[in-house]
Amino acid sequence: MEARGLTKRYGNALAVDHVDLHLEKGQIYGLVGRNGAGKTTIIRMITAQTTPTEGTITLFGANTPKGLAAMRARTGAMVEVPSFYPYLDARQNLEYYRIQRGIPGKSAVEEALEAAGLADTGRKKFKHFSLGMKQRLGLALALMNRPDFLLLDEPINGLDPEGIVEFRNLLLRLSQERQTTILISSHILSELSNLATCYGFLDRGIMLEEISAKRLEEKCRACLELHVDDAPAASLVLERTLGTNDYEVVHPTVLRLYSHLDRPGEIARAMVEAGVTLSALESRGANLEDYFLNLIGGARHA
Amino acid sequence: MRNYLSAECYKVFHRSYFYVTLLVCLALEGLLLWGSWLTLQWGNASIDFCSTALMIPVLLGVGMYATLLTADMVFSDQYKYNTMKNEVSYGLSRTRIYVGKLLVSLLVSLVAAAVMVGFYLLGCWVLYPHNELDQGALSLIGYTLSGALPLWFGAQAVSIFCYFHVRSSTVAAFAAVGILGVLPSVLQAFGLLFHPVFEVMRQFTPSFMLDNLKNMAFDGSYLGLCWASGLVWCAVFTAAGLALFRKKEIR
Repeated sequence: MEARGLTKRYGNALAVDHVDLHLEKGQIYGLVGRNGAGKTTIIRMITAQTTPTEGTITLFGANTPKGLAAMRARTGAMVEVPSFYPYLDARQNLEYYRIQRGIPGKSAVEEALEAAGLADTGRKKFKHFSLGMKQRLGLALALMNRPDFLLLDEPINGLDPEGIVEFRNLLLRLSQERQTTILISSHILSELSNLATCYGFLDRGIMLEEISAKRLEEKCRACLELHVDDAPAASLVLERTLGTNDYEVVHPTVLRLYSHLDRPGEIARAMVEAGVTLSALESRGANLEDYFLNLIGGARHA
Repeated sequence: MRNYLSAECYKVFHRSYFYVTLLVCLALEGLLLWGSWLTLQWGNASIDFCSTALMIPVLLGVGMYATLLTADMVFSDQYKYNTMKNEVSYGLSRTRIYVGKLLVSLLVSLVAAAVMVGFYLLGCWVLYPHNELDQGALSLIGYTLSGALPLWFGAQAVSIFCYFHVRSSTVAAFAAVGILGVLPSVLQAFGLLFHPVFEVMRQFTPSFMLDNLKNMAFDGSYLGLCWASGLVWCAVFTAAGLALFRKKEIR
């Protein structure tokens, strides 16, 4: 899936501003942003609930309206609150959509209910479901057609801790075993960090950064940041005196050291003895939340 | 499209709304039959199959307003429950959704009309005395029903239009009543106040034509006019509804 210059304008308000998105097969893409950042609007544009003001969407290589409509049959989506007919039970609701979508075999309904942990709801009507059960039914519908691309908007809202673990394992299994591509937006960043292989950070409709989980992990890794007058000289001290090459030079006067985290005194002494001026030595490291907050903080200041 | 129609039928016939509404209507018909039967028992000699069965041409307008109920059954408060997004996000075309719901509501209306007319006629046939006027009454009923059918189609298209474009189903029902029931009176007033063309327009509204059908018995050209007018109403409201629905934001 690819989106280029995706824009949505409501009157004078710009909900999404020229956003580019790239998802590879089998990737779990975490869309991160505050309320009103444009996450749901992007998902609604991909799922044809609203039309983009500008920009193009490509799904499985198709980007014409007819081609996109055909390719959407290969997707599963859960956007905002799961919505079903309140007077039908879980099976009847899924059977209705199974018939509508032309999914062969009644077993598809049972398999989807089983996967979502709703196999034993019996004749209980949707209107009597708890929030967690509604969320599970939404997931069952999204999975019923065995989609190649899954779009999930705040999918773990209302799930209990056990449900969250089951849900996480299910998504990981889908990604690994079926190579399902997953686009997931969530406010619960700690949970997203257990799943995503790639992140897109959105703020006020603008994509601030797309980054792989691996790269993000590197950026967030705990380290000691050394501010020196001569980084090459400091590098020699680290390698020869402290015997480590687990560091990176991020600026001609700044190094990040990923070892010796509990020995800042030893590092300072080695620098001074080698004649390197050490103006600052700081302990650094961030989780996804810190990273996101720093990012939007930076964007606001800019 | 076949899958879509099957699914809509599955939804309508798996809820009690359709059955309860039909039962209430049949009960009211039963009440009418019972009332006539009582007067017959009390010695009213004018009660026979012909006089009671001819209530059908008089009540054709009820069928027009019944399209509000069948549209509501099929549309099923999709905006209230936000279920439309499940259809759109799967790539079902808006044309398929709109036309599919219109076709299923027509089907449900036809089934309900067949059951209600059949029940009433059977009741009349069993309960009341027969005479040489029976054949004429049945012919008139056949004529008026064949003229009413396209006008009901037009009314169904109006009802579906309102349910698709007004978020609240209660307000949608009022809007449909406004177009079907109030508009002819407005046109009549305009015809008197401004220009006779409004009066001519009124004569092509479903409610006027349904009322007038029984007075135009066995007039083939009026029957043709009913079909032309009903199908134009159906086509215009479907085209307009579809054009608007294609641009509609789904939540």
